[in-house]
Amino acid sequence: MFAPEPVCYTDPLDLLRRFAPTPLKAHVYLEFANVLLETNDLSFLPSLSVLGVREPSSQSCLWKIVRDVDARGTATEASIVMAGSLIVYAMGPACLIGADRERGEILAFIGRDVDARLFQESILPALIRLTMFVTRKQDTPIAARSAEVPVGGQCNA
Amino acid sequence: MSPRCHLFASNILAAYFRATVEHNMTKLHLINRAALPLHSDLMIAGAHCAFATNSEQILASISRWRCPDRPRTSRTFEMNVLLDASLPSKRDVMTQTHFRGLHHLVFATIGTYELFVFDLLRKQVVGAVSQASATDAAFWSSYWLPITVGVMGTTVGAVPVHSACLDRDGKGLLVAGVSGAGKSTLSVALTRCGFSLISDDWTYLSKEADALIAYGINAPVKLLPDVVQYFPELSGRTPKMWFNGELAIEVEPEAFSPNGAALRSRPHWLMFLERTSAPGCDFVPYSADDAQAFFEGAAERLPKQVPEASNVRTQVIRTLAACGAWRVRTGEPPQVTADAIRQFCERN
Repeated sequence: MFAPEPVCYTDPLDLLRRFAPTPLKAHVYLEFANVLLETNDLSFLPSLSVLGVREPSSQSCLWKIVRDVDARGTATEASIVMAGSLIVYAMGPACLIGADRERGEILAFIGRDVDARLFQESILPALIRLTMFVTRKQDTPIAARSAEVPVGGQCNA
Repeated sequence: MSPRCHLFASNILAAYFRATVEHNMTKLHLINRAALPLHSDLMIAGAHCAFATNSEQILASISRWRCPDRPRTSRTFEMNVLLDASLPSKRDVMTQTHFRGLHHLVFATIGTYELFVFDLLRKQVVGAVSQASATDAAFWSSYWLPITVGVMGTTVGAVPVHSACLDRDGKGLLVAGVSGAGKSTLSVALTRCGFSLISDDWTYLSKEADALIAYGINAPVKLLPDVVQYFPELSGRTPKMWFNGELAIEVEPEAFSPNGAALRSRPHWLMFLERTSAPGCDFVPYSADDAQAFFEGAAERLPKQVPEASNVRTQVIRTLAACGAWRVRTGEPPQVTADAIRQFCERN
């Protein structure tokens, strides 16, 4: 379990935790993208070992993941908003992920009570899918893209 | 809950995204402004919100902000809100609303399913709400639209400053001070001295033709429950818990301005309220540098992804700080302080 360190967000004012320091950096090589990870907590990184290390991809993406010491509780059911080049994937305060395709960024807050198992089982798959969304060229035919990705069971269309 | 999706983009796009999340997926909302059938122009604190939705109920809930014609202003952002009637309506806005921001994005969740994203770069807000929020006019007028303009305002040149604002004959009086100093209660007292209330807590400043204009939000005024000791006519109202954990009663702004709430004014006096235990009410000149430092210190830090917003805010605050500014030290009840301020303003 993540051991939080006290951080002052009032001087200067940073109620949204935008400026939570993310001094830890790592490279994660996915099959389809090279990810630069910036975070304040590497405790969930062992679960990334399942991804393996591949040849560098031509696509790159930033993952900025903030372990949010003030967000308590576990992940809830997922709610997703997709609009233009943005996708926001939320599982309550314990997991907020925004993916911006134009900027090649995935920005996330992970609650303090999210353990490595929950991260691996519930959040990491979403991060990877969102990375696909972010790094795929927009001129690729959508039908062809969808054929490459396995279809989930509970999605609602 | 039965899985559903709202498609306002293409089915092919939905099929693609369906493939991107394998588990725990219960609600997917594809929001495409062009496919939202209902559009409305809102003016909120001097900013134009080009609003789109699929819900007549939401339009009715935000009707107080509506302007009949499309405003001629560059201070515009888009807001696209989808009503998903299948979302559970059980949520507590005060205790289950959660905000976070990184880079140019601000996320907000309300309960388990309602979700908003504020995109500061693209000047766009997108969200999905339940029936409960759609029909709750107080949700929009007391919370969500004020919050929205608070988040988005700086990016479109409507800069929020932590200050009450009142108007007298077209001249604006801004009353600043730390939280708990008594700005709201003093504002009520000032309305009894010939001032019209514009804002009790946050004021929005815009530069228009090189002049600084202060706007209010026309939202209900929040007052601490002990205000009834000074204004017994406000007794009998039930306090509510707010985001910051404070108990406060809520009063419509029209209640404080017999001629109707003023919505804008030109800043003329700037006062920093300080409570003391000593009797009396003193006015001490306050330097522009101190005034600027106060407002910048009370403002939320902005991300480097929106540098122009930071520049605009700095310029606006600098202009505001150049107004005549005084520190008001008072140990008097709000009515006495308000009357002293009235007399001071008549002389200055």
